[in-house]
Amino acid sequence: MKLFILEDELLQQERLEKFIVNYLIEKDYPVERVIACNKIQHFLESLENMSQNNIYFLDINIKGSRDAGLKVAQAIRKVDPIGQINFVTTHSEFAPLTYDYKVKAYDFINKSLPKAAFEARVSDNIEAFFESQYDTVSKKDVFAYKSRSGYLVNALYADIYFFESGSSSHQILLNMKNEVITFYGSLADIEAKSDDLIRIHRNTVVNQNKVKLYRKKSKQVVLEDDTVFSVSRMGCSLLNTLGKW
Amino acid sequence: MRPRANYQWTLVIYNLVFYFFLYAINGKYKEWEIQRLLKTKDSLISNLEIYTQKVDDSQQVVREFRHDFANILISMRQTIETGNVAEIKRTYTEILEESHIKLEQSQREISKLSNIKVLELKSLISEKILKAEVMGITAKLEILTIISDLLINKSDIVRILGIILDNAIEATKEMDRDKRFIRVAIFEDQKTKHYIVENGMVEKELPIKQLMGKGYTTKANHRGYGLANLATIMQHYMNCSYQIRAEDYRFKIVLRLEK
Repeated sequence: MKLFILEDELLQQERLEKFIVNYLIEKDYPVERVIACNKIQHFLESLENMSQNNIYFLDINIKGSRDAGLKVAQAIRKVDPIGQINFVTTHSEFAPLTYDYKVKAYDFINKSLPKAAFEARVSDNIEAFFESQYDTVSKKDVFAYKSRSGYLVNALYADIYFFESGSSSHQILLNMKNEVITFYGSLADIEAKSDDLIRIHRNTVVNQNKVKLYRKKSKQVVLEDDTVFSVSRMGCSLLNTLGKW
Repeated sequence: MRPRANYQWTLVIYNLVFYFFLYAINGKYKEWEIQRLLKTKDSLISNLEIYTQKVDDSQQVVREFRHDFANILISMRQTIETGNVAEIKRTYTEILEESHIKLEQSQREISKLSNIKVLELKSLISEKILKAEVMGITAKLEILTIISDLLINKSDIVRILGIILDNAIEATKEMDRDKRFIRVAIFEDQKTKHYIVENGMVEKELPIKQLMGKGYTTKANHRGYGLANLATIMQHYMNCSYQIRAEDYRFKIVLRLEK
């Protein structure tokens, strides 16, 4: 694991680097190297052949190029999809929603914060990074599906309740605990993704771990969030062979 | 023979009356429609007027700031000439703090709307942002590129965003004054246009599905009804999808419109 800094103003770069190096030594965190660059070219070169899961502190405006930080972050995401990217920048460049969506930015740190507050923010993020290392999820816990339009839908199986196709066919609504997503795809493909997913009806796929009740007589299924679905004959025979309820 | 003729006349009269009513209703309806159109137009124009006023104001603030800044720099030079490091430090922090506050207050958010070239959208967002600010809600806009086309029917996107922003304002109002925030981002990547609205809420999490059911009005809000409408409108478009999440005291809606 490495830590990268991209900042074109040398004074600020040095200030950040010095603080981080001291902090890492003090906490004895397993960071191989701290790499500080002031040129995009150097930074991109240092990204080559790099391992995943690093921490980054990037300035957005580099040598007058106003979205240099974003471009660099996009290059980072190609080789390191899980690392922590922080933008260190002036307040007027803050765009957390946009950058979260585009490159999963973790935080925006305001350069003009007072020294103590600035350093607290940097160290908080480093702390958060090392804390999150313990609760990594394995690949089989994650539902990943590429929609017809190329959008990647990601969700934890533990959160998924059901998939339902809407009135316009192929539009699918994924229902989770605190989230709803619509996308274009096919229920048959989705059902094939995991044994936990069962097609109980022409337009419904449920997560069998979320089924609370199965009323055989009335051909109905009740999920943990109290949604009720009717079950087709095919669905009934599937549920019967599972025989859990 | 006679009663039959009578009957015919009745029919004719009934027909005439019927046509007359039809005509009257049609006329009334047209009138009502025109009234409604005029009303939307009026509100559009008045919103834009307020927006222009705000932009002018913020330009004024920038001008004043530039003027102040020149003065500050001159006084800074004088301080530097004394060579007193402690004094220089003090002046510097003062300047930094002062200019920070000034920039914060200069209605920068509204001026970010200049990237939106669709009047209806600009009008709607400026209205809602101003409404939010009046209620002490911190409203932040992220519109980094020029938005000139909407991909779906203007009135639909205005309606959807109207619902979302009204919900956001309602939900945020329940929070402590210093925690209230709404963030709006509009951007494009490759073939997709994204509208994202995020706001704080008092609840830690919410079940979206139940919220979207028609007429969900438990708790002191009416967010549910709007969401049901949103889902209905979005269903008409093959190129649209949405994502709604309510977690960690934050409510977030993402709309994706594909080209």
